Amino acid sequence: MSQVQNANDVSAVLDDGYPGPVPPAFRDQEAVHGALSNKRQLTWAKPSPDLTARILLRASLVRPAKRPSKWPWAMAAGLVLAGGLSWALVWNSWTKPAAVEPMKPRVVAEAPRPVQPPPIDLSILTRLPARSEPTIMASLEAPLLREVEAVREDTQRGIDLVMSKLPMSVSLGLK
Amino acid sequence: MSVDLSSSGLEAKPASNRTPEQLAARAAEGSLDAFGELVKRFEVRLFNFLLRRTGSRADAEDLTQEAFIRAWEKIQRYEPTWRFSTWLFTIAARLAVSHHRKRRPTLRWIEEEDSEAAAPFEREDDVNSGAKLWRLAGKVLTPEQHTALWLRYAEDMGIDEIAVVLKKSQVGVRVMLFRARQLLAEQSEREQQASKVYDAKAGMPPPAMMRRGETRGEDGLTGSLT
Repeated sequence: MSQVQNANDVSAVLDDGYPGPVPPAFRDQEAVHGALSNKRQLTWAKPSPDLTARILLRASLVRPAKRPSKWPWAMAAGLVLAGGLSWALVWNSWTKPAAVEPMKPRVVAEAPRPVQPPPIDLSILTRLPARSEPTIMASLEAPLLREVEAVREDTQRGIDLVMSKLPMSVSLGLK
Repeated sequence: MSVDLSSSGLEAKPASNRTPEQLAARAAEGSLDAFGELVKRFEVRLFNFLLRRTGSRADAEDLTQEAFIRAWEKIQRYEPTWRFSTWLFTIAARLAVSHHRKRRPTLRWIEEEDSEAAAPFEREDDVNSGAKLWRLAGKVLTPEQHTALWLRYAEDMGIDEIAVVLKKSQVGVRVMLFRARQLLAEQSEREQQASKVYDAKAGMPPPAMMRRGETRGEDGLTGSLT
């Protein structure tokens, strides 16, 4: 058994009054315990007769310190706690990147506007003098015919350009 | 548990029936009379405790005075959870430790020997007497072991109270007391054997009782470099 175990066992009987025998190996401690427990064998020395008076004289000159209030401690503890919490939050936000949140589906509050048709000058339909068919046709076809004419001219110009580079352009009779 | 010194004439009869804890509560309210009653009740006990720690009457008286003044100054902090004596002895023990640090080497208190006990060896049936063991304790135990033994047997303190006073764990106190008693038993046995040899060789000078390096000083003190 370790010494601590022995000490606990012996002390339980001798110091705590636990009922039970002291282990045989430590019976001599029981004898020592018995002798020391005899108060009449103890020598009490006597202090100076004026010691009490000296103590009380000094005590009369000092005042007992007041019991320190617990409020300042509680407040200090609260402040420290709040400070620590704030610091932890700030530190956390600095050291860790902000989380990327997935985009939510966009909900459109209004229905999309219908596509506006290109502006067509329908005034010709209301202008009576211009309601004759040739006039209407002419006014409707004129831009197309101009476009066709422009395309034909561009095509001719391109053909001429290409053919001018070729040695057979003249003999083919394309003009 | 309380130490009764009234029969020895060392302690003044209590002026009131109040317990030390009740007196301490009144002292905390500012009553110097209540505190004076506490001083009268504990003065001799505290002085003897400190005498064993310091080895000097003058130092023990100074420290007794200081311990009471500290107690008075801090009486508002006394918690009745513990006995008043435990609180007071804790203050005194701290003062003794700081005194011990300042003053080395110290004189160790050896119990005063009366005329009969002054003989180098007692008779066999007297070897294990309490007085003899306390004298041995002053010689062979460390100051801390001696203090633990004093608090246990002179002050009737429990293990938990001794642990508070000495700032040790309860297991540490148990081990300390166990070793102290063991040392005393062994030393007592050794001296008993030596006594038998001395009786057999009557007329021969007795072997030295004191350890090497110790010298007897005034007031029954034994100087030691330990």
